[in-house]
Amino acid sequence: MDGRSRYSTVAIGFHWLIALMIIGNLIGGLTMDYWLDNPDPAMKQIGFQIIQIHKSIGLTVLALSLLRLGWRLAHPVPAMPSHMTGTERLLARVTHWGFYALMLLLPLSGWAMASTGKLIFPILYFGTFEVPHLPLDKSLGGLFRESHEILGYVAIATIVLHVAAAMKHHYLDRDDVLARMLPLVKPRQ
Amino acid sequence: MMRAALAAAVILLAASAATAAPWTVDPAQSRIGFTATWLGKPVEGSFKRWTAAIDFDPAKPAAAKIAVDIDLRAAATGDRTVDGALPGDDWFDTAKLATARFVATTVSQTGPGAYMARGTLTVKGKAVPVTLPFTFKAAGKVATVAGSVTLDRRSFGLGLGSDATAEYVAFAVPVKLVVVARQR
Repeated sequence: MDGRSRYSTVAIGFHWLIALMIIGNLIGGLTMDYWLDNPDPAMKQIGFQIIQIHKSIGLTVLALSLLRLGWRLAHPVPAMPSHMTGTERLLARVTHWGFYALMLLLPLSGWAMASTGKLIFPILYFGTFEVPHLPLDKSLGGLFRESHEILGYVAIATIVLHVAAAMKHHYLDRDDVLARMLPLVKPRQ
Repeated sequence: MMRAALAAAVILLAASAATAAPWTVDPAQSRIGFTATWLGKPVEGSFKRWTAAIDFDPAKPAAAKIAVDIDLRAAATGDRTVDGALPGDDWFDTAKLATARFVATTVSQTGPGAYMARGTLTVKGKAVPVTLPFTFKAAGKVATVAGSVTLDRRSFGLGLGSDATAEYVAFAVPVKLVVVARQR
């Protein structure tokens, strides 16, 4: 068993848990206008409920990402395969650190947006305790809204790139880059 | 000595003249409720704290004096999202002014046990003329008053920043009140 070529269980857990939440929130974000712009009040109601869940998931992503960042800084990641070129390595690093930036900035911009929007509601974390609004000037609401949306699209583009790279490593390069991030899969020897 | 007694008599007389038929509200049995409409669904709420100075003789409604002070911070629907939003500056803005006040200027009888109170309701500093029809039923020294009026939240500048087109929250807000009071 080559421990060094595999991500730790904690890192794998962080990766997939956060990935699922981000994908869920991206779907929620992308379909938001469909719900909210619907003339049927029942559909708006669904949209409103999605926003509440979206906020709670986003805050969870923020908290988990801070923990994950701490873990990442304290634990070395497996080395990149030797066949990768300098450009590929650079691209991989930029993508990975870009993800960390997104995992923090997407929720923060959303939190800022929820704190400065036209409709101000208390943020109830999954209907339990109240998370305070950020003390920001209301005039910045439009800016936060814009940033949140743009960051969402940047996240989609980054995920596409990330998944494409994982597929390339797995099917073209036939290395263990994908496998070492999959739970319960043993890396190729 | 004589003077003091005279002064006391004058004060007593003045007090009794000012409050010809005073009532004491039983808060446990009384309720000022409202129904907001959120995306077509009714959201029932009430004000948990309010006080009323009522001087009302059903036989002489024209002499009535009614003033109600409502603590807007005590608006409760049971929905934490709504209750958390209501005190905000676009809605009741309770940080600036936490009390709404209704003062009746004219009370007239419209039928047996039926009355009409015309007055001014001030919410968020905006005074709006309001006509409140109510019924009055007395059983001994205890009376039950029931009335309702539909208010328009726009008149008080409520939620104009969040939802000026009633996309989410309807403009019309029916208010229902039941007051059980004991004659003093």
